[in-house]
Amino acid sequence: MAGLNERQEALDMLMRLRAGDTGAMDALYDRFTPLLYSVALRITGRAADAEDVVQQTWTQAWQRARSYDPARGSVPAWLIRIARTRGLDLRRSLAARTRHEESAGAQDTDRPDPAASVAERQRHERVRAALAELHDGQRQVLLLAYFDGLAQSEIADRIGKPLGTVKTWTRRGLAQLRERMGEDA
Amino acid sequence: VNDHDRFLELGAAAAFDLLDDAGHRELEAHLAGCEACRAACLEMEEALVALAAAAPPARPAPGLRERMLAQGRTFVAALAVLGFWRRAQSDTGLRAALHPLRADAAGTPDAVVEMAAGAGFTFTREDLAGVAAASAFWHRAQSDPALQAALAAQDADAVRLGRAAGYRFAPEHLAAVTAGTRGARDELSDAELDQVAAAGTPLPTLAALGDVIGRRFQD
Repeated sequence: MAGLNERQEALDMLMRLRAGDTGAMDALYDRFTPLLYSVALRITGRAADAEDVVQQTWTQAWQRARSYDPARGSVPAWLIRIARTRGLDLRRSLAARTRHEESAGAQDTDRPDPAASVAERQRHERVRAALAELHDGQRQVLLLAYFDGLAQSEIADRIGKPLGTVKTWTRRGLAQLRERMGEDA
Repeated sequence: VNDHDRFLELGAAAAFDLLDDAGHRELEAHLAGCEACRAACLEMEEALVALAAAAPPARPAPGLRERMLAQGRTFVAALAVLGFWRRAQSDTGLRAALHPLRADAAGTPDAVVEMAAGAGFTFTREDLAGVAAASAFWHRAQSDPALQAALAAQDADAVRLGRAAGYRFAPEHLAAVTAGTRGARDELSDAELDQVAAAGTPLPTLAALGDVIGRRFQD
């Protein structure tokens, strides 16, 4: 279900959608909404905001399906990128409005929703295990960059390391994560 | 840090959307000539898919599904209206078939929907009307800064303002028109869109759209 197969299946679905097959839309939605929602919830920290993000993500995806370019990355990567960007945008605008400090999403909580499927939990466990094999600095840098949307200079300040180290850890952390997850990423 | 490592650091920053324009240009210039770095950068993009799954698994409330899929279907249908419109510009057979419809305004929308279905474009008469109204509204907004601002927001505001100005459409109809897919705005002249708007006062009607299509194919 994951890895290469998932990427190929997702590409097929998107191509069918482009051709006007709305059944492919249902299939894409069902396949990826749990992951998109999980990311959005982790970033925004609130179910209502996460639903907003998922809604914006699919709206954008339906509208831009025709301009998706496979050479620039897989369909899952494309969808997740939209959700993450929308989630971080929403979080920043809420933070600006309420003058909240970098907030709810920042904690590394791990309480899976009972509604999540077995496959979703297993994948989550595999990623957590792969992340646990990175050294603390690399893991921290990746999580702060991804879920908190911190710039590399902000991460450097936060963890008290030079900018160059943050850049290196980001690059190596991603490469090692990819390697450890293999085709399962 | 060697040169390739530096570009991979740029690539990692790009994956996290942290790269400025100058950084993007520098990276793109390198990737254009370095297959190994390009492959490594794509791998990093895919690593983010794994990273995403570090978020605790969760599911949205079930109601979201129907709402999102209904919106998606409306958008696809709106694109089909525009696709059919474009096809009709270049297809003499369709033009000939559409022409007589003009004489029968009451039956026009259904006949257009049916003809479109025959040509492989699936949409309802509501979508046809919505796209026509959204197109007319889009055109009108081009000369009205306040409306243009509402269009930029492309949300419920635009729909509400459209309705207040006599144009009834769903957000997806407007989105399709403005989606950069060469919308109906490219297909109709200002005068034709004015007809759409005027004929159906206060609402541009399906018959008005049929009338415009008919006029379009007179010659």
